[in-house]
Amino acid sequence: MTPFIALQPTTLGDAMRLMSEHGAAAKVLAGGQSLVPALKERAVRPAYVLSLAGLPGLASIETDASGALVVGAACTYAQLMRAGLAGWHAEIGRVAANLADRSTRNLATIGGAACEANRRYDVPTLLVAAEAVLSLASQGGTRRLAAAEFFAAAGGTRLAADEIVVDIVFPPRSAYRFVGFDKFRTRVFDAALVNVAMSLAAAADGTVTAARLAVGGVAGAPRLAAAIERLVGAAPAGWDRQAIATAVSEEVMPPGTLATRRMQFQAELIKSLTLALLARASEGATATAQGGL
Amino acid sequence: MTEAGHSATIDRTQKLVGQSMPRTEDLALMTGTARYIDDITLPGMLYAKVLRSPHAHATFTVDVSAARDMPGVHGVLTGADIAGQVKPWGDMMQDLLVGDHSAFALDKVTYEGQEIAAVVAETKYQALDALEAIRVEYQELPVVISAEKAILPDAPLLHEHIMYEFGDGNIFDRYSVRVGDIEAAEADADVIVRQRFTSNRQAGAALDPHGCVASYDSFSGVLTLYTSTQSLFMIRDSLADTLQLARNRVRVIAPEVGAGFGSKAQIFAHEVIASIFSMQLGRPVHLVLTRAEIFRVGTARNGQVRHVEMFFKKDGRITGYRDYIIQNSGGLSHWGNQVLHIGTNVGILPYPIPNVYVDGDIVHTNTAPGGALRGFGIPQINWAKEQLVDMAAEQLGMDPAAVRAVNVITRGMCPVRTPMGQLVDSTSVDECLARAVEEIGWAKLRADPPPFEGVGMSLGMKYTSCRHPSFDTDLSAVRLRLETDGTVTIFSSDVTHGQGHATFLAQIVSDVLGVGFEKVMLAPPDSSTAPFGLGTYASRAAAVLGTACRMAAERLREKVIAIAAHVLEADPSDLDTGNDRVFVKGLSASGLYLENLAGYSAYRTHQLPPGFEPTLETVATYDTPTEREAPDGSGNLSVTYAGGCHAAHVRVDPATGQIKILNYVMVHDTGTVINPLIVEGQHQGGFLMGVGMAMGEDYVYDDKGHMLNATFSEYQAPLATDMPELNRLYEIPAPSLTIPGGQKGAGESGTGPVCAAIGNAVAHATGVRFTALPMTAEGMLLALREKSRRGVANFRYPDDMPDFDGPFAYEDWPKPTGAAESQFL
Repeated sequence: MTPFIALQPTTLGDAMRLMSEHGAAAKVLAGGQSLVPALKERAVRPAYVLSLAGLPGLASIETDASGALVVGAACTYAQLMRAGLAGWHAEIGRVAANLADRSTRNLATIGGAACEANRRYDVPTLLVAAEAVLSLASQGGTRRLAAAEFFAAAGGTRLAADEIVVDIVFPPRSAYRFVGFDKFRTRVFDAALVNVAMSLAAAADGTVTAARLAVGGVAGAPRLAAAIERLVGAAPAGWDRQAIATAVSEEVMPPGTLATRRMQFQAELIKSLTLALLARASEGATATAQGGL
Repeated sequence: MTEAGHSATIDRTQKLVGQSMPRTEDLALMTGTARYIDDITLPGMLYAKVLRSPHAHATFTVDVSAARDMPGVHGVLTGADIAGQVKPWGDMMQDLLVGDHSAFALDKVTYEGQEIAAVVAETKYQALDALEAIRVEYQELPVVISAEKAILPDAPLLHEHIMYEFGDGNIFDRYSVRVGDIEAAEADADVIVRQRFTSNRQAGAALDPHGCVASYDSFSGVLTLYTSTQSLFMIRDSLADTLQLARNRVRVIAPEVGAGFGSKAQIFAHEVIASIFSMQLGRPVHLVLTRAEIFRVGTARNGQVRHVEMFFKKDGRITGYRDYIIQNSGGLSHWGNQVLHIGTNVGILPYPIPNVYVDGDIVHTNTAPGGALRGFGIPQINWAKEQLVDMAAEQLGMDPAAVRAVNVITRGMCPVRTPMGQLVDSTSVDECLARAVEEIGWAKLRADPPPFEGVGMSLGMKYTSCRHPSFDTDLSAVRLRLETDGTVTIFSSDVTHGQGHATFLAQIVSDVLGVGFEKVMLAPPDSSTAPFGLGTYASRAAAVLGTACRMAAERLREKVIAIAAHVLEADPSDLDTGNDRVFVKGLSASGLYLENLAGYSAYRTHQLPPGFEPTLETVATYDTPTEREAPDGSGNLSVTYAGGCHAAHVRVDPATGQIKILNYVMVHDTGTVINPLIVEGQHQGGFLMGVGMAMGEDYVYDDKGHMLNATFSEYQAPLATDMPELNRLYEIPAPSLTIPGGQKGAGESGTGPVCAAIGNAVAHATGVRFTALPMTAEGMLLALREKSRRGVANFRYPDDMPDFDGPFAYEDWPKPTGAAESQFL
């Protein structure tokens, strides 16, 4: 660790003001699960570290009038997994419950994961597939950015130097009939080698009206696969799952570009994970807890 | 009570050897009160940090002038500061003509992380700040990662200024075995199987880091080194020689050592650097390495490429073994050549193969130094040999278990001298095989496995300590002192770091001397008080140290009986010991307390027999009756041989390639077990390291020699969550006839057979035979896909992959450079 000045605002206004003064040289400390190890290794050397710990109201989970789920950026994974979220929102809790290890889940925050934007993290992929919107606050006001915009294709985020993510808004439960997330990791505490998240909207008879699928771990930001839109207009019985999974994989990782065995493996995993999600979605009719069609 | 047979209750009326005494060590470990190297703080202590090369192969010039002026800095060292004054080391352990290790690289580095300079300062952070002020200009050189490429004529040369006696280019030593007539065996063979197998680099990954505190007393001239090590005297003698100090002026103390697994069985540069700083400044110097440093410079398992052929008769008999090995021992090695000698000699067991022909080239590459690691070469050969047995079984149309049963040394054959020269004094490995077949449900699973499931097995034997070809000794020593209150202190230089010395040595002393178990204490390891011994490695503690302890206890018993006989006016042969006293046989509730006898010896010496020397200390050294390696590579290097059979039942997920161990059976012969609880723990830990080697761990390098996974978050060591439930451990004891107590080594038998057992099970489950370690989900899934594309039943991975980088057909195998007269090809 190298010396830095600790900034500990107690109101969001103070935080905004400090960020406008020092943001370019500052790092924001939430749960510290990415930042603190990097500080210890001297991998980052900020002049200022601004702690969110003293700010009120950043760790709430609420449903707004439209039914959208508003998750405070400083919500920990442990909070999310215990929140008892219903419908497809429960998938957010399942993702939170199944990453890293217990001590990390107790400290790490969903906003921290979004800002870290590590390609192997689960949160970015889920946010992109579910069309979550992030609220970015600065002294100039609050702007809202869709997750697919927030994550920069080359890696990192489009967060400005003076901005802080204050909350993440997930669409209402009525927006999708199914949201599923799956990933591959070697050991249970490892970050994912590949993760896939899919959201489906459907008519009452199960006919898909909108489909969206994001793949994480293979590029600087989660990649959307348009091939999943082939589901639109068909009910699960009419899906050619194998063909769609292959098309998703080949769109995200074209066969001619797989220069390493790791990439070949990832391409195979995208197929397998997509197939697993399609199976879950189509079998969900009998497993409502999974939010199927 | 587990199926391994240890009971939670201790019967105090019986001998303690053989019972599962709870470990004396565990309370301190479990409550966080144990003191490890990084817990040591001495008055006036300074902190040192090392500047390490970011390049794997480069020449350099270094300018430290700015660092000297940084706040808090007390000293800076580079290779130029010590050249000609501090002796290189590494010659003794590998029997080389000159030492090739040094505290700092002088002007060229051969692996990433090699020491360039060091700073000592008031705080760690000031030391780190000062390191950043050091300017180094590097001229990068071509890098060679692969040992197969390092032996090619156009490979970049690593150590151009060191003359290795048997070296050539990057080959720094060679190994050969010539036993029997391999050509006749080949000509006479009904079935020949051959395959190129590679094995991975693996870390010791002890959680307690490598590190030391050096404290030089400028008045007495004594250098005290507190260090996390497995061996006091190998460190002391190497350090004294390196610094040219008298050996009685160097004192080595080990604090609690949070494991080593072989990775702390040698002297390291940081120990020399801290010592030099302390001698220069007259202040204690703390130097503890980070995990990233330990991965890069703390030694790794030697990677091997084995080109193995085995010759069989149609009844399944193995008649010959031929192998050409290229061993990757990294940028420098401290034990690499010994790994190849001992691992190959012992690892060929449990088959008494009549014709053996081996050549090995031991090679430097721009990778982490190759060192000792649990199994010492045996897991590498077992991985190749035991898979070839399965491949032969298929060609022979025999059950793999049956082929093994035809060849294995049986209890009834013992004691037996094998063609390789091993004197196997006792074994039950044949019975272990039969038991494993039964416990895993071999017949049914083999004949009718569920989809993507399979069973495989591996047989292994393991040395119990070893007479290294490089130095002619295999001894351990114990000194016992009966204290004046009837307690007993054990002094030993063999550092306990997981083996439970304080527990099992106390069991031996308690049984022999009749002293209460709780009254026996193991003194902290300190070279100034402990007798000379080699250290704790090679599964030697129970058999070699335990025997020395038994001898010392018997000598102490003779002394107390002599005093008691005099006081009681009894014949010594009428006396016995027990219940903390010496008594007339049959009258165990009476007699003289050891406390009183010790008191006579210390404070009432007129009570002693005439002429009796009052001291109640005894010392015993046990040097095993092993042989030196013969010129043809044969010899009985180990005093006795533990052994066992492992059987794995696995399932492969065809969607992800993940290999799951559904059931794992370990049946071992560990001879007479002193403490079943400790032995089961050793087997479980051995298995864990075996699984790491089999399925995850490896040093991943880019083509510039940068290690890409030098953190515990990236390095794929198995976690507790990845382990199958290990409740299928069995012991079938065949007590050693050579070791007086019958015990055999336990620490490494759990590791050797794991890779091949899983490899054979995976091959049975999928038709994919891995030829390279580790067997990852990535490899599994790609191999399954390629196999199905080709529509073949059997597929070798990665040797059958189209983009495989390296020789894989028999015709492409390189000629060994080890022997000019080679008839290899």
